[in-house]
Amino acid sequence: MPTRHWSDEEVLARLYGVGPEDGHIEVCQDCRTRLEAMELRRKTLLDRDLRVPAQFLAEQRRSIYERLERRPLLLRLRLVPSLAMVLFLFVILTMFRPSPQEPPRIPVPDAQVFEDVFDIASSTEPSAVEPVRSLFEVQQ
Amino acid sequence: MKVAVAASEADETATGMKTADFDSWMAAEQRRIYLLCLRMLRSSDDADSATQDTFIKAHRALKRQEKAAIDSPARWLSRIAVNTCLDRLRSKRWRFWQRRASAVDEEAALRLTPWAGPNQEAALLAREVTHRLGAALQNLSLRQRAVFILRHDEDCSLEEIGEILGLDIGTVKSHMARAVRKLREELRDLYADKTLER
Repeated sequence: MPTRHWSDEEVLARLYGVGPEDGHIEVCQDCRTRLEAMELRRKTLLDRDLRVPAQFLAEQRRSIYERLERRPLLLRLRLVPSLAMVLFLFVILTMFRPSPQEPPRIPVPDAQVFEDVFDIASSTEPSAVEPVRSLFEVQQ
Repeated sequence: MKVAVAASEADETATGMKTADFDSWMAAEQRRIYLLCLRMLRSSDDADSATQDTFIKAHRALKRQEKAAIDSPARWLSRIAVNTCLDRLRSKRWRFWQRRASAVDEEAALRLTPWAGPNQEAALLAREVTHRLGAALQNLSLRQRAVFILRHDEDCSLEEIGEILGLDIGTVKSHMARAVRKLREELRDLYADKTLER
C-alpha cells in the first residue's frame, strides 16, 4: 500500500473524477479531509449569488414565445441562402462547361487526295452504282 | 419529474399534458440553462440566443414525442443546451470576422462570480480567480470545455457527462484529465484556502 500522501494536484484531479487510482484516498483520513474541503469549496462557489435580472429572463421568455409563433416563416427564410447557392452553382457550371473535344485529325497526304479526286472526276459510272459495287468488293 | 408539452390548447386532451407545464418548467430551468450557455460561450448575446434555441428545440422535441415523457428533463435539457453551444462554437470557428467577446460580455460573465458574503475580500479574490478560470476555459478544446463545465458548474458525475455528450466514460475521463491539467494554475488558486492547508 502506498504511504505517501497525495499532492494537491492529485487531490484536485480526484475532485474532478480523475487522478490516481491507488486506493490511497480510501484509507488516508488526511487526504480525504483535503478532498472534502475542496469539494465543499466547489459547492460553495456553485451556491454563489448569481445575478441574472428577472426582467432579462422575462424578455427572453417573450422572445422564445415569439420565435415559437413565427417558426414556419423563419424556416422558409432559412432556405433562401441554400436555394441561392444552388442557383449560383448551376449558373457557374452552365457558363463554364467545357466544350466537347473534336476528334483528332489524321493528316492525309496530298497525293492520295489528288488520286481520290481524279478517280471521282474520271469515273463514268453513275454515283448510284457505287453502294451496290461496294457490296461485292472483297475486303483486303 | 417528468415533463411533456401539448402542441396547442386543443391537444391537451390528446396528450394529457398542459402547455402550462412547459411554461413553468421553462421558467424553472431558464436561469440554469442561460448560465450554462454563458459559461460555454462567454458572450451574453450568444448565450441569450443559445438559450432561446435550446427551449425551442426542447418544445419541438416534446411536441414530436407526443405522449412519451422525458425521465430526466434537466439532464435532457442540459444535453440540448450543450450541443447547441458546441454547434455555435464550431460554426464560430469559421466565422472569423465575428467580433471577440466584448468588455460588456466579459462584465456579464464577471457578474456571475461571487460578490455577496461576509468576507468581501475573499469574495473579491474568488471573483477574480473565477474570472481567470473562465478565461482559461477558452484554451480548452470544445469537448474538454463541455466536460469540465458540466462537472464544475453543473455538478454532473462523469457517467452523466458521458450520457449528455454521448461519450463513453473512458473518453470523458481523458477529456477531463487534459482539462484539469491545462487549468492547473487557475484551479490551484481557486481552491487555495486556509482550510485546505495540511
